[in-house]
Amino acid sequence: MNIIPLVIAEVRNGKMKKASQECFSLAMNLASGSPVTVVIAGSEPEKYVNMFSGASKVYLLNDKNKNGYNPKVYTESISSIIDETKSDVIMMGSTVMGKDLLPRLAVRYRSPIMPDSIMVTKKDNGISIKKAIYASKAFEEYFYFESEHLFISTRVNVFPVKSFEGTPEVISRDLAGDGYHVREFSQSKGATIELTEAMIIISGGRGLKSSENFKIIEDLAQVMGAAVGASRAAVDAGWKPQSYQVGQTGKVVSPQLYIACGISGAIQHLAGMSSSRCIVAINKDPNAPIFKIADYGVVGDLFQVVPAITAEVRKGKE
Amino acid sequence: MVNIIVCIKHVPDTETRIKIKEDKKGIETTGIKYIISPYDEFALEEAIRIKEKHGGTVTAITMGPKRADDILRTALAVGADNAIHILSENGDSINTVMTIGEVIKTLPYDIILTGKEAVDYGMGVFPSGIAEYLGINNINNVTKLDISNRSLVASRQVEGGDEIVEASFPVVISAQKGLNTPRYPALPNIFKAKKREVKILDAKSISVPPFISGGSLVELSLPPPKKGAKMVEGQTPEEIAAKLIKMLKEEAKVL
Ligand SMILES: Cc1cc2nc3c(=O)[nH]c(=O)nc-3n(C[C@H](O)[C@H](O)[C@H](O)COP(=O)(O)OP(=O)(O)OC[C@H]3O[C@@H](n4cnc5c(N)ncnc54)[C@H](O)[C@@H]3O)c2cc1C
Ligand SMILES: Nc1ncnc2c1ncn2[C@@H]1O[C@H](COP(=O)(O)O)[C@@H](O)[C@H]1O
Repeated sequence: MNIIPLVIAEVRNGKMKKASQECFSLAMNLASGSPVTVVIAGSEPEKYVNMFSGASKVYLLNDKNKNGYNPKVYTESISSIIDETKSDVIMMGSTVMGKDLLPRLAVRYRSPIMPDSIMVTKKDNGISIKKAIYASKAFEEYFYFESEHLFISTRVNVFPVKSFEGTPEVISRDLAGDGYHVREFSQSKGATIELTEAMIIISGGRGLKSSENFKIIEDLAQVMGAAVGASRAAVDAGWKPQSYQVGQTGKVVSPQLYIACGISGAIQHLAGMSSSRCIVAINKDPNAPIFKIADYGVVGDLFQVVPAITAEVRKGKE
Repeated sequence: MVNIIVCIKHVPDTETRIKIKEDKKGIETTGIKYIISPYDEFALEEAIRIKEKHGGTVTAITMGPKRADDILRTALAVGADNAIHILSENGDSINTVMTIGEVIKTLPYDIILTGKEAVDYGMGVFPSGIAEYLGINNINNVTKLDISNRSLVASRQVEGGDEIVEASFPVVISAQKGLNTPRYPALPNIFKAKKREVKILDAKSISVPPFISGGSLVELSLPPPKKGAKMVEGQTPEEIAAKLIKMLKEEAKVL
C-alpha cells in the first residue's frame, strides 16, 4: 500500500456531511504528502469544493436527472475515478450512504473493508485500524499491510476536523440512472439535529411514562442545542419513532455528552451510547445499571431534575 | 410467484458477556448462547409475508459452523420452504459475500432479504456487497415494502427522514427494525422442522475468486473499565442542576 487516499464526500439535505469532513482530515493526515482525491456526491456538489482545500483533485458527481443516490451507478462512476487516480485507500464516513456504497466498492475490488472505524493509524508499512465489535463490548484491532486496496469507513464524531491549504483541481462527472430511483424524500417530523452527528444527545426512556412527557426532554435539548434520543422501551411504546432509538437495534452514537433520563441501562442500550465522551444518568433507582457506565449520576425524579437543568442552562445563557 | 432468498446469521445473544481468550485473538465461546441476528428476524418475517401475499418460495441460507443449523430450523418452522447450510468457520465479510453469492447464482431469485447488519461484528457489508457481486440493485435500511408487478417500492431510513425508492426485480433488501413484527413459530411446526431436510454444502468446495485479506488481527481488547458515576447530590433539584452544569463545564469540559 502506498496510501494514496480517496475520500467520498456526501451532501445530504443541502449540507456537507460532517462525517465527510472528519474523514477528509484523517485522509490528509494518512497521506502525509501524497495526493488526496475527493469525490463529492449529492446535489450541487460544486458548492462544497472550498471545504476540501489541500486535496489535489476534487471530482463532482453531477446527478443531472435528479435520480438521487443509486448504489450501482455511484459504484461504477467512483471506481473509474479510483482507477484514474490510482488511489488505494478509499475512505468514507460511516453514514447511511457510506454503509451502502463502500461495501460495494470493496467487493468490486475484492479487497478488505473495515467499517465504522474508531482509530486509524499509519504505521511503518501499513495501517492499523480499530473497530468496536459485539455491540461495543469489545474492540478489534487489525493491521493491513499487503492489499492493493483498502476500504475504511469512519465512525461519525470520532475524528477531529482540521483545515488544510491548497487549491484542488476540479473535475466534473455526469451520472446516469438505471432501474432504481428515489421517488421522494419525506423529512422526519420534529427531529432537527441528526442523532449520529449531534455533539449532545438527551435521551428518554420508559421513566418518561408518556409521549407528552418527552416535552421535558425536548425543552432541555432545545436550550442545549442537542438532539433527542430514546430507548427501545420508549420507541416500542410508540412515544417516539424508530429513528430516535439508540442502541443495538437503533443508532450507534458517540456525542461529547449523552444525558440518559429514565433509562435503566440495559446492555442493548449501552451498545449504542457507551462510547460517548461523557455520560450523565438521571434515574430514581440508585441501583440502575446505567450508573455503572455513567460519568455523572443523579439519583432523583427526572420530572423535577430535568426541568431544573433546563432552567439552569437557560439562566447561564442570559 | 416470487422467488425469495433470505440470508440469516447465527450470532451471540445480545445479552452475552464477552470474555477474551488469553492469546487475545478470539473470544471464549463456551457458555455463549447463539440466536438469529435480530435484524435477520425482520428479514425472515418479511420473506414469509411476501410469500403469503404473492405466492412463491422462500429459501433460507446461512453460512457458519454446525451450530448455525438452529436458525435454519427456525426459518423452516415459520414457513421457509428450503434451507441451505454452507458449513464454514471463516468469518471474513468479503469471503462470505462471494461464497453465499456463488450459491445464490445457482438458484432462481427475485428478492434477497438480509438484516441491515449482523450484531456480532456490526459490519453491514453483506447487503450491498452481495448486490454488487450479483450485479443487481440493493435498498438498505428498509422499514416498509410494497410489491407489485415484479417491482417494488420501499421506504428506507436515511439521515433526517425516509426515502421512498422504486426498484425492479431482482433486488437485495436489507431490513431495519420497524419493517414488521416477527412471529413466533408454533410448537408443532418446531418439531416438524427438526425432521425437514437442510441442504448442506462445504464452503471449501465452493470456488470463489481470489481474495487477499491483506492484513492480520493484532488483538481483541475490552473497553477500559469505568470508575462508576460521580454522584451529584443536593437539597433541591435546582442545587443539583447547578452543580451538574458546573461539573460538565469545568471538570468534564463538554459544555
Ligand atoms: C435483541 C434486542 C435488541 C434490543 N435493542 C435495544 C436498543 O437498540 N435500544 C434500547 O434502548 N433497548 C434495546 N433493547 C431493549 C433493552 O433490553 C431494554 O428493554 C430497554 O433498553 C429498556 O428501556 P428503558 O431503560 O427505557 O426502560 P426500563 O428498563 O423500564 O427503565 C426505566 C428506568 O426509568 C427509571 N425511572 C422511572 N421513573 C423515573 C422517574 N420519575 N425519574 C427518574 N427515573 C425514573 C427506572 O428506575 C428505570 O431504571 C433490546 C432488547 C433485545 C432483546
Ligand atoms: N454468514 C452469513 N450467513 C448468512 N447471512 C449472512 C452471513 N453474514 C451476513 N449475512 C447477512 O447479511 C446481513 C449483514 O451482515 P454483516 O454484513 O455481517 O453485518 C446479516 O444480517 C445477514 O442477513
